Order: sequence, then C-alpha cells, then structure tokens
Amino acid sequence: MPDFNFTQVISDAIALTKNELGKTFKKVKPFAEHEFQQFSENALFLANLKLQGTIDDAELQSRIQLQKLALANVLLAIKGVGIVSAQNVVNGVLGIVGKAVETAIGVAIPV
Amino acid sequence: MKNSIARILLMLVLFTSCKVTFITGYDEVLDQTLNRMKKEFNVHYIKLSRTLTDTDPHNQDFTNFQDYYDNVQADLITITDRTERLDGKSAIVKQQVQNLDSSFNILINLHKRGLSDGDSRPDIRDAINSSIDAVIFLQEALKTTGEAN
Repeated sequence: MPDFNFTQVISDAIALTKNELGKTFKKVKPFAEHEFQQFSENALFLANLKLQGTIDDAELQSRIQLQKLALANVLLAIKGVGIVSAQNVVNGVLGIVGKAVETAIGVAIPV
Repeated sequence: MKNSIARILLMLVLFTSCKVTFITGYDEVLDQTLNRMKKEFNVHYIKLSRTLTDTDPHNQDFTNFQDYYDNVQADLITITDRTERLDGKSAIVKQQVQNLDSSFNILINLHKRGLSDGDSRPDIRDAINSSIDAVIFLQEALKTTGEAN
C-alpha cells in the first residue's frame, strides 16, 4: 500500500492557497481602483456644486448618501469575493486530501 | 505503518462530508434582474438628462417618469424577496440588495422634490451603476462556486 504523502499533500495545499489568495487580489484590484477613483471624483464634484450654490444642503446630503451606498456595495462585493476565495481554498485542500486518501487506501471520501 | 494508517483513518473521519460552503447567494433570477435593471436605469438616465439640459423646466417632472419608477420598485420587491432569507456570510448579498433599494428610494425622493435644469447629475448615474455593478460582481464570483439558497 502506498504511503500517504503528508509532505506532498501539505505542499500542494499551500501552493493552492497562495494561488487562490493571489487570484482574489487580482480579481478585485481593477474593480476596486475604478470605483474608489469614481467615488473621489464625484465627492469633489458635489462639493463644488455646493460651493457654487447650485445645490442646497439637503440635495448635497442625498447625493452624498447615494455615493456612500454605492461604496458600501463595492466593499461588500470585495468582502464577498474574499470569502468565496477562502471557501475555494478550503474545498481545494479537502480535494487534495481526499485524492491522497483514495490513492493510499482506495476509499473515496465525499468532499 | 500503523501510524500512517491511524492518521489516514483519522483524516477519513474528519473529512467525511466536509465540503465547506461559507457563502451562497448566487441566484440566476437575481443576476438576470440586475442586468436588466442596469440597462433600464441607464435608458432612464439618458432620457432624464436630456430633459435636464434643455430649456423646458417641466418635462423632467416626476410624473413624466412614473412608469419607470413603478417598474423599478417592482423589480426591487422581487430581488429583496429573493434575498430575504439569506443569512450568515450570505447576508452580504442581502445587504447589497438593501443598499440598492435605499439608493433607488433616494433617487425617487430627489426626483419628486424637483430636479432643476443645468445639472445632468452624473454622480447619480455613477452611484446607481456602481451599486448595481457591485452586486453583479459578487454574483459572478458566486456563480462558479456558490449555489442558490
């Protein structure tokens, strides 16, 4: 019976983890950068409208609130993608272990 | 050898039925509705901004756009209902939809209050699009690994 190669399993699992975390950052970076840039530009735009007297306080508040809600959704998306990636890591590791177990003792575990 | 078998058996016990789902919340109806809402909002915005940059101060009146707002509120009810029972980490999607609902309510109130000519309000276009895009972005990520609740 082949030995269960713990060293290889751990090495593969670590490689997967690095890969997934790398992907998370790459996935969200362009999205996040664009949204943060846009938020900054719109906040400045609104401040100028107020300064010029084009809009009053009530309208400024409402339009800033729209910006804040949009930013909140962006941050929630980033958080969610991070969780998905973490989930992928765990399931990936389970897959690696499951395969190693099946190879070692011929039993398939439902992972 | 005995040690190896013991460790393997231990892992077998630990990993039985252990597939982890931290976050679900992908919903095809939600995904499709959001994409349609985005398009309809942008059509609405194009029409509205045309009225804000002309010389007629009344063609941007809220009543002229009532149909659009009625439809968007119906869509918001649909997507709110579909995410209502999400909890745990999947509550992120529910929160996003609630934020989107709040955003459209602000838009509706702003429009009812009256929109003056001369300011096409690109910040509003950006905010609503960003809000919708953020929900779609997460749905796309969930599509490959999550499942509808």
